[in-house]
Amino acid sequence: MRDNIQGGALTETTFLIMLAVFQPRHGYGIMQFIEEKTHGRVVLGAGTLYGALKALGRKGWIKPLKPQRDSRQKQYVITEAGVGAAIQELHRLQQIQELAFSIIGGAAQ
Amino acid sequence: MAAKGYRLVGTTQITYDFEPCEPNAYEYRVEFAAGKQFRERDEYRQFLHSLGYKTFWKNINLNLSLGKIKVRPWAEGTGKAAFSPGSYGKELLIVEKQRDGKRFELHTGLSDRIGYYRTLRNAWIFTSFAGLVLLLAVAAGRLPKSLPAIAGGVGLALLGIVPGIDYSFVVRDFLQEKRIHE
Repeated sequence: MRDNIQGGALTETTFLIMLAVFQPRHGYGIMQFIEEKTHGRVVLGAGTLYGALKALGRKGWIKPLKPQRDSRQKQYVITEAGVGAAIQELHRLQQIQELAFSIIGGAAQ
Repeated sequence: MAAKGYRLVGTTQITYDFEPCEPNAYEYRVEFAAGKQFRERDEYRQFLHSLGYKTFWKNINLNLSLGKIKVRPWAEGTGKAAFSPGSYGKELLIVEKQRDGKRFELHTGLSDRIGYYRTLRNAWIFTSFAGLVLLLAVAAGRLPKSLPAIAGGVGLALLGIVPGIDYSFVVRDFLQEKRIHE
């Protein structure tokens, strides 16, 4: 089944969150990671991040870690299934990048 | 109030309590949280606290009551009926953040915004619909033809229709944008 029919393409927000939790991070850390790595281009709202974390958790792609003592901040980390999905997305983006460069080519430089 | 140097410190059903602070030291956003189920509202609030935000509940009285049950057809799952004080009187969530020069928005993704504004739209349309039902009940003789009943029906119908239409356009615009961007 083609990607666009079965919904294989991830949104940028989803993929960035998954990348952020390759290392355990709490919510604020995820927001900071994404803002820093995108040089301020992507700034996640708290409500958007909360919804995305819930959705990724339901899908089994990320999981919460047990909160450390004296900390109310829940950390999240990517699961094995999530790593698989992230690798799939990376390959998809690479294919699109190769196609785009072959067409747009020098104009992109 | 924040621009004038007042910080929100508490809310009751009819009041907002402030204390003096540096002007613009804090900024606030208000979220319509009545559409969320009870447990999710609590989890969301704790999540906001983990980000360093402070929150306050506030009532909006945008409900229809059947005895002690508040009815919210636009809400998700078990949020459609509120049975306890933990569920009603907490429709608005006021979120406070210390101003740090960075953008402060609760909902930034298109899909997230569409979902949020759809809930708002549905709540207002339901309000208008409730007013029409009330007027029809009066016209059909199911309710006494009294001025309060007619005024209530007209008031509800008009109160809900303008924001309902306005939010419909907002949702439509976001949906159109989503065809091209995320």
